[in-house]
Amino acid sequence: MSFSFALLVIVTVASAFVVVSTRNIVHAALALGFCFFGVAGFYLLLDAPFIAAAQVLIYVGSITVLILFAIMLTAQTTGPREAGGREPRGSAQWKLLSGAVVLALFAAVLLPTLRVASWPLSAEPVRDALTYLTRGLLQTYLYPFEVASVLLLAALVGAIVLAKEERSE
Amino acid sequence: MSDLQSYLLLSAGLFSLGVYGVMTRRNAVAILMGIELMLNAANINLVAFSRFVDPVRLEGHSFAIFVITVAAAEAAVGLAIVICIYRNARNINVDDINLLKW
Repeated sequence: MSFSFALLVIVTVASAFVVVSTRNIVHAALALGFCFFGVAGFYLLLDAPFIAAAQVLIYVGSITVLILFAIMLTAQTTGPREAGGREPRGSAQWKLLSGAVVLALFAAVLLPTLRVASWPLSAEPVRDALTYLTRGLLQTYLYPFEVASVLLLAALVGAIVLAKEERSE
Repeated sequence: MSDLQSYLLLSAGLFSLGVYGVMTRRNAVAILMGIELMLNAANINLVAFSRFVDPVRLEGHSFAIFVITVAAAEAAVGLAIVICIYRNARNINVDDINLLKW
């Protein structure tokens, strides 16, 4: 296992842990940005430079900023009141339940899969990743590509309509 | 342990952290962050499989691009809904938003 992989695992998993565990939601959003950066590093290690760039542009650049804006616009849960505040209701049961779900996932799916399954691994190096990506997007998956553009337009209009302040006449 | 298996374990860990975040956080924005973590874990899986199983045609890259697209749309609409709820209820704690519950 390479050194860069281990370093990225530490950065990504540690910041993801901060995202789900810290009580201050602004810290969680900033840690989420670091986590997205780590995932972009994994894409670089996997010979997917275009997806790494898209990850940095879309996730680090816009989704993190969008989340920070939403936090600022709904500001009542940030700051020391939340940081030192009460534990939310039913927290212990939820932690137990999510732990049980995750353990069941690991035990029932992942471990037997890793032990038994063998994929037809190929040792070919990746050549010309971008050529094949564009071929996939504009030939094989042309209709899903167009549908995705309509989806983005619908999401754009829907987000504006939902978040627009209604002024009374 | 092969390279592919270490990537699978990593994405399973990220996904588990996302599930934990969604189930334990009460703030709607924090729940959206957990969902983003899970989507990223799925994306790592897609790209890792296309790197190690199908390195010539790389079909998984197209899927990863579609997942990123849908995740961006989901984040925009989800955060708009959160802002809308905050404007009406002055609160985004999902335990307190029970208008449709009976």
